[in-house]
Amino acid sequence: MRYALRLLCLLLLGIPVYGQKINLKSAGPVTDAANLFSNNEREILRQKLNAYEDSTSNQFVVVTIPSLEGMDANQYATELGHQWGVGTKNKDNGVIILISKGDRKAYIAIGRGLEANITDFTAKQIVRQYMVPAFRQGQYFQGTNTAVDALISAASGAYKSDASSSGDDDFSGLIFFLFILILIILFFVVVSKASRRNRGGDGFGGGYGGGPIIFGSGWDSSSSSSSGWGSSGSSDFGFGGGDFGGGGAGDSW
Amino acid sequence: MKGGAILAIVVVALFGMWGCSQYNGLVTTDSEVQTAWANVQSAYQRRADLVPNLVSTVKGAANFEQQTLTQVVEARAKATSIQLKAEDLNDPQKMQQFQQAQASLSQGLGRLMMVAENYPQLRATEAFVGLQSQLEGTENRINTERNRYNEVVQRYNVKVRSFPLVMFAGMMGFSAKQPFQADASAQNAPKVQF
Repeated sequence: MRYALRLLCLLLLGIPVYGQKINLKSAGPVTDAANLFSNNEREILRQKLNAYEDSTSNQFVVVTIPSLEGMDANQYATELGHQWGVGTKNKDNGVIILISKGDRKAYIAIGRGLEANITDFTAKQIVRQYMVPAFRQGQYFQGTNTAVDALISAASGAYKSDASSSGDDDFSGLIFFLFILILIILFFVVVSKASRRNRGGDGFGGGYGGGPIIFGSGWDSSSSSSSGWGSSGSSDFGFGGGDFGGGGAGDSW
Repeated sequence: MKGGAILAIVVVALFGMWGCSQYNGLVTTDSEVQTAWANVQSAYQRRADLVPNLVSTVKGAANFEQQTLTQVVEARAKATSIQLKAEDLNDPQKMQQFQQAQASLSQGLGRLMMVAENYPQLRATEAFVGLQSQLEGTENRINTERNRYNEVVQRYNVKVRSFPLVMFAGMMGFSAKQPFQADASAQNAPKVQF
C-alpha cells in the first residue's frame, strides 16, 4: 500500500528528465581513469594543482579516460565540468584537461569565468605545442605537466583566492523558510485560541499541532526537487559548482 | 460546526500555499528558460560578430571565391535580422524561422571553411588560424547552450503539461515552449574540418 502510494506520488510529481550524464567519479584534481600516470606523477600533479587552487581559487582538473564513448571531446569535457561543478560558483574559474587514450584526443575545456584569459586559441596552442608532441611519444606526464604550467601562466592574474566562503544562498533560503514556518504556527495558535475561546476549549489545539510540520516537510521536499535536480548534479569530490559554456579547444595526436 | 469551518479554512489555506509553491516553482523554471535562451542568443551573436572578421581575412587571399563570401554575408544579415524574444518561445513558427536563419549561416560558414582548404597560403596565416579556432569554439558554445536550453525547456514543459498545473498554467499565462529541433539541413551540411 505504502509502495503504491509512493509510486502514485512519483507519477503525479513527474519524473525529472536528465540530459546525457557522464558516469565518471572524480578523484580530486587528478582523475586518472586511463592509468596514464605513475603514482608518483599523479602525486606531483595533484600537489601542484592543489597549491595552485589554494593561491588563486582556480580549480584546474586533469582527467584521463579510456574512451569518449562516442561523444565529442568538447561535449564530454564541457558536460563533465558542468556536472562536477569544477571552479567556484561565482567565478566559474575551472579548467578541465581531458585526455582520451582510446580516441587519441586531448581537450582543454575552459570555465566561463576564465574564457577571457585563456581563449580558445590559447587552449588550442597549448594542446598543439605541449600535449600533442609529447603524447605522440607516449610521454603523457611530460605533456600534461607542461600544459598545466602553460595554462597557469595564461590564467595568471585572473582571480585571487578569497577566504570568505559563499554560503549566502542557502542561508537566506533557510531564513525565509523559518519565517514562513513561524507565520504558519502563529496562524494556528491564533485559530486554536479563537476556537477555544468560542467553544470553551477542548483537544483541538493539540490535534492541529501536526499540521504545520506535515506541511513544512512537504513544502521543503517539493521546493528542493524543483530546483536542485537536473541542472547541477552533485559531485563526489568537493568542487565549487562552477560552470562551463563550451569554451576551449583540443586536438588529436 | 465551528470546528468544521476551521478545518475548511485550514484546508483552503494549505491548498493555497501549496498552490503558491507550485506557481513559484513554475516561475523559477520560466526564468531559467529565459536565462538559457539569453545564453543561446549570445552564443549566436558571438558567431555573427565573428563573420565580418572572417570575411575580411578571407577576402585578403588572392581571388577567393566570391560566391561563397556573398552567401555568408547574406546569411549573416538574415540571421541577425531575425531575433526571437523570450516571450515568443512558445510560437513554433517563429522558432522555426529563427532556426532556419541560423542554420543557413551555419551552412554558409561550413562551405566557406571548406573552400578555404583550397588556399594553402590563407590557411597558413596566423589571422586565419586564430579565426578558425574561434569559430570552432563558437560552434561548441552554440551547441552547449542549445542543449542546456533544451534541457530546461523539457523540465518546464513537463511541469506545464502535467497534472495539476496543467489546469491552471494556461490561465496564468504559462504555455509550453519550443525546444530546438535537430534540423534536417544540418545533417547534410558540409562538415567543418579543423
